[in-house]
Amino acid sequence: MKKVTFGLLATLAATQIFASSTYEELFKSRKIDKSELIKLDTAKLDKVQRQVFEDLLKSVSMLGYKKSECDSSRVIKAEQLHGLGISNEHYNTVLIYFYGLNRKRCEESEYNKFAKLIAVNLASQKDSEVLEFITNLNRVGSAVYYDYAEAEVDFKQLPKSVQDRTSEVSFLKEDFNLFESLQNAE
Amino acid sequence: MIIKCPEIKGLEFSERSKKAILKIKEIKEVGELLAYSVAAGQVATIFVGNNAAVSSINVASTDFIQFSSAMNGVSLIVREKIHTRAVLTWSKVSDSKEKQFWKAIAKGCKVQ
Repeated sequence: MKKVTFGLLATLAATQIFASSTYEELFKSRKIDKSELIKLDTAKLDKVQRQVFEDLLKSVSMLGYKKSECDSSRVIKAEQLHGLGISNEHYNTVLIYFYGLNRKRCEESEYNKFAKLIAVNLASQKDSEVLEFITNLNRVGSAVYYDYAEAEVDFKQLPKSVQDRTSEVSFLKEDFNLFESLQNAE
Repeated sequence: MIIKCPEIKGLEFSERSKKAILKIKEIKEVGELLAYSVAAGQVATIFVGNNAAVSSINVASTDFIQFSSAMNGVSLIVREKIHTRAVLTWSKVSDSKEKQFWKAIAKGCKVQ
């Protein structure tokens, strides 16, 4: 099985990193070694394997487009946050948590379908390169849920009164633009 | 509108930022690998298949559309992940230059 190696950064030194070189590190596409490529040959799959694989591809497409649809331009204003009656040191945690909740709710149907098809494919596929491809799809498709989980951990460390009070507020439960709202919270 | 990544002199990354950069690089690389891998697979299917040229290409065309659409989905998902991680990191760092950096990433700045 071809090993997929990732050119992760070596441990960044404590010395100064110039922003322009870091931008380049973040943005440049690394040179892909042919030996690293996962060569999918879907002709090898039986009918059922092919069907569940195609269903998975469709679900990836739907999930991506749904995420774009879930983007919101609505911004939570500073006055709304002041009206919560909570310490301003909690604003960021509250906003990030509810942002995550709203995103998860918005894409719930598409993500659930994607996750189930990942599971079905992991159980059904035998070809190692197809399995590797599916594993990578899952890494990409589910990555942001780590951020949502982190937000939940932080939120649950807030005083219970803050959790309870903010959980009853309607303007936090509608999709909003996180970055612009966080800027208002500063 | 394409925003140019700003030059930020004297920027030193905190541990939080360094970890975020690693996470972003990793997810970006996985996304790129998926895209390249699919392309390679599809080329192989077209030119290696046993069927007559026309039917192979017809099948491959459907596959191309499916894979292409899936990879569009992947790029949207990767973009969301990078944006989210950038925003979260922006909210948690205190240094103004780091904040400026992460704001630029969250806004989707391009190196020009």
